[in-house]
Amino acid sequence: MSRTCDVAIVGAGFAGLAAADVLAGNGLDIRVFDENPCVGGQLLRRPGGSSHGPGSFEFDGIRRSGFRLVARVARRGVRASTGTQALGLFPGQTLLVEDGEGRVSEVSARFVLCAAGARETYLPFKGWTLPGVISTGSAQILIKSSGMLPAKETLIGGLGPLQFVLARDICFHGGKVLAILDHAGVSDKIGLLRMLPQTLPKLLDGGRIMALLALSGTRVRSRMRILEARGKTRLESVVAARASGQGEIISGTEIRYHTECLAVGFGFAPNIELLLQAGCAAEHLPQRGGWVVRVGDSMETSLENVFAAGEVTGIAGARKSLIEGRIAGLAILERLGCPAPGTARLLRGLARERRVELRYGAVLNRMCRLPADWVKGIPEETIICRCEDVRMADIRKALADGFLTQGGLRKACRTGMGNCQGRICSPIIRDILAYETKTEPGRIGSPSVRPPIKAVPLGALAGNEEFNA
Amino acid sequence: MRIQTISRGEEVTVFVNGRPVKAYRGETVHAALLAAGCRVLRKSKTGAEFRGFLCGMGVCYECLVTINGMPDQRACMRLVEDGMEVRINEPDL
Repeated sequence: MSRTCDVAIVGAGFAGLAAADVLAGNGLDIRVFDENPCVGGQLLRRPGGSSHGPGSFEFDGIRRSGFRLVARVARRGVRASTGTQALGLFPGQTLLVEDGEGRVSEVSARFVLCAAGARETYLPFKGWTLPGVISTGSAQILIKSSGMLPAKETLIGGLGPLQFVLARDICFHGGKVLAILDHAGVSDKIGLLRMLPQTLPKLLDGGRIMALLALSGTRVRSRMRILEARGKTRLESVVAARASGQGEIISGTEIRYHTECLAVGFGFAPNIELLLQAGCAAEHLPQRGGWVVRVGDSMETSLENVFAAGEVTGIAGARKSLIEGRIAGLAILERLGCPAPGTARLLRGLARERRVELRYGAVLNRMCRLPADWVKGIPEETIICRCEDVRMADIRKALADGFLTQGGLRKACRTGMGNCQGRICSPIIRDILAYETKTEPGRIGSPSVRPPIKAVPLGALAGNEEFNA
Repeated sequence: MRIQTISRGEEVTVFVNGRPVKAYRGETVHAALLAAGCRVLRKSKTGAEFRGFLCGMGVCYECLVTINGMPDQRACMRLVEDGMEVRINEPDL
């Protein structure tokens, strides 16, 4: 089954919706695809079928404007296919999509915008695969989408602001946070102050969160390292210790927490798989959060008529996604021969706003970086590739045998060959390779991606609709 | 651990390995399983370990369950439906 449209947008988060908002109402056929049950992306998660998430006042009113955007795009008649995943992007801007029930179709568009967002990254520790060890994002999604706390008592750890936001949400809804094991130190956050006044609303929100956590008696520990998650079939306890400024574990500082839930998050990685598979040029920019797709001023990638916006061009938060979605929408309108009034002026203003958000992103991404030698301390039995049960010992052996590339490791010990196709382990593997081979992280290379970029039943690809009946 | 102060959709029944479990429209299968006490979902590929939920956003494929007879579905990406049959391989009910 094949269809054609003017613009196909992959991802209905801030960037995708902002573009759809700009494009709508021009007599264009716009199709929006999103893998999730609801449009809105990660930040606007809410119970299925409802228009708002659990309310909370924020100085940085980005969520409020986001919910208005969702409503406006729906009102303007943009059709979004939710529960639908993109499997590949091929020449002629032809997208292969699967509707979640094994039905695969092709959609050819004059322009494609990929706004696939980002995922969380992880730092592996002994026992991180135990049921009960979840991501901070996962815990937030439970609260926002399903009105559910991840556990009676939750231990939080990792890097970056999300751990504090999650703790606030848990406390706000009557749950208990045992402690926040921040892997960064207090001094790592100074960069935010240097960005005043742009970061003022975010700092005010941050201050309010810290005050609420202090009032609720939540312990925040700086410069911690999670050493081990323990349990027989599921998480029972967590051992952590304090690290020195150089990242060495300080002996005698070990603490043990009894908990059935540990929520961890160590930053974000852009979801550039679809764009890599299509053949778009990517670049490694640590200040943007690692491997990102390369875009020009109009958000067009190295492939003509293929645009990218939001976290795929760099991790910097929802406001940058909103700005880039608008830029891409305006640029596509212009190319379609129906430019919005005052396009040039609008684009100049948006470019200025984007530069500010990119600077904020750079501060954020610096906060989410561990010293490169964290790899040194990974115990041998620690699982690195969860899908294929590949342990650190297997990887060290493969490295010793001379498999010194991502592809080499994949052949030697199957890292990244499982269901998630390396989405969880590839940032970890790249850190390991950079450290062990003493190579600049940017020279390790982006992963190679082949279609289908998401798991799909073979029969669905063969077009046999009865395969799953 | 459902939050009491949040308004919910209509009550539905999901069957987890045949056992009826109360859930609410709008919730994910992930949430319904967790509310039913299911944290352990399956064995890892080599059978070496138990696994449960991780990313909650469709990336990690750790939460694969069988839904209405269709194997390898991500519990975090599906909303509950009344009468839905969910099968997990390592039920710790």
